[in-house]
Amino acid sequence: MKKILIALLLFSGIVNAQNESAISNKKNEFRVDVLSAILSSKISISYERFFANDFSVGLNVNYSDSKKLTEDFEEGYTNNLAKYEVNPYVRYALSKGKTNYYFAEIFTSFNGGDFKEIIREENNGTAIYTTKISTYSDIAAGGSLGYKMYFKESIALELLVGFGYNLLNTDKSPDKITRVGINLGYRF
Amino acid sequence: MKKISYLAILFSAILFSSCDTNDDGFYNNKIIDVNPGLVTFNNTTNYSIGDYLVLDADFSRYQTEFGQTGLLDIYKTTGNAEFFAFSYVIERKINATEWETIFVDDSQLQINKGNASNGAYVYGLCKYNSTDETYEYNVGFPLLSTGNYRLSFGYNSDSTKNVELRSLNKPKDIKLNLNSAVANLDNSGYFYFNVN
Repeated sequence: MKKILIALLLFSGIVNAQNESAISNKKNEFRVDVLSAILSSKISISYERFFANDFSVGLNVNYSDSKKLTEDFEEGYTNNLAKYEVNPYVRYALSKGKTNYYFAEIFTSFNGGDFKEIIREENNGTAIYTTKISTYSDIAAGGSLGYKMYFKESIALELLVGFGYNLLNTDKSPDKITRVGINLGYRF
Repeated sequence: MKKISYLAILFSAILFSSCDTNDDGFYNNKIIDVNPGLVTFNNTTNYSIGDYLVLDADFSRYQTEFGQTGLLDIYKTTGNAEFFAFSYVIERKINATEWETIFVDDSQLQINKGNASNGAYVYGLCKYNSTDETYEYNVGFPLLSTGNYRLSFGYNSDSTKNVELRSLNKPKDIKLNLNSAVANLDNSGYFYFNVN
C-alpha cells in the first residue's frame, strides 16, 4: 500500500513538473477513445484546437458496429441501433493548470442509425406481423465534464462523461445520447 | 475542495448518463386481441374424486384479430412457432376466506395433446399440428380430494377474463401474445366447482 502511495505521489510529481508553457504552445490534439473501442466496438476519433483563453473547440466522430448492441437490437431489447455520431464541441478549462485540468463542454450531435418497428402486412386476405428496419437521423444538444492530463508534454489521457438529448426525431431516435470515454491522444 | 466538487459532479454525470427512458422494453413483442374461446373447459360444477378437470385448445393458425381485416397468420408471424404457452391455477378453499394452490406431480397430469407442467400454476403448451394447421392442447388435471375449487387464468397476466397465449420462438422472431376471452368465468375471473 505504501509503495502504491509513493508511486502515485511520484507520478503526480512527474505530471506537474512538466513545462506548462510547452504544452500551451501546442495548439492541436488528436485522440482515440480506447474505452469505447474495447467495450462496444466503437471507433471514436476526436480533434481539438486550443485557444489562449482556456477555450477550445473540437470535433468528435464515432462509428459503432457492436455485435452485442446489434444482437440486442435484433432480439428486441432496443428499437434503435445507433451507428454514427458527429459531435462538434466547445470546451472551457475549469482549472488553471495546463498539465492536468478539469473541463466542461457543450456539444451538438448529428447522430443516426437503424430503427425497428413491427408492421402488419396483408396479402390475399391473410396478414402477418413483421419487423421493418429503417434508418433514423437526429440532432442532439448536451454537455459533458471531463478531466485531462498530459505525459511527456504531448501524450494526453482524458476522461469524459456527458449526455445530450435528441431534439427532432425521438419517435425513432434514442431520447438520450451519451458521451462517455477514456481517450488517449497526442498534442502537437 | 474544488477538485472534490468536480469529481462529485463527474460521478453524478456518470450516474445520470447511465439512465435512459426510451430504450427499455421489449420491442419484438406484439399483443393482440383475438376471438374468444381459444381455451375452453367443461362448465360442469360437480365432480367426483378421481375425475379430471380438462382444459382444451384447438385453434387455427389463422386468427381473426379485433379491429383488423384479414386473418392473421400467427404461425408465420412468429417464425413458425411450434408452441403457444399459457398458464392457469387450480385452487381449493381451505377456510372461509383462503384458498390454496393444488399441486400434483407432472406425471399425474393427463396429457392428451400438447404439454403441461405443474408448479405454482399449470404451464400449458399448445403444440402446432402441421396436418390441420392448428395449435392443440388437451390436458386433464386430477381432482384428488373433496372440496370447493376454483380455476383462474390470471397468474401471469393482468387480465381476469382472458387467457394470454404467448408464442415460444427464436429470440429474433416476433413474440406474439394472443388475448382470448374465456367462457364461464365470473367477473373476478374465476370458475367455481365442487369435488364430492
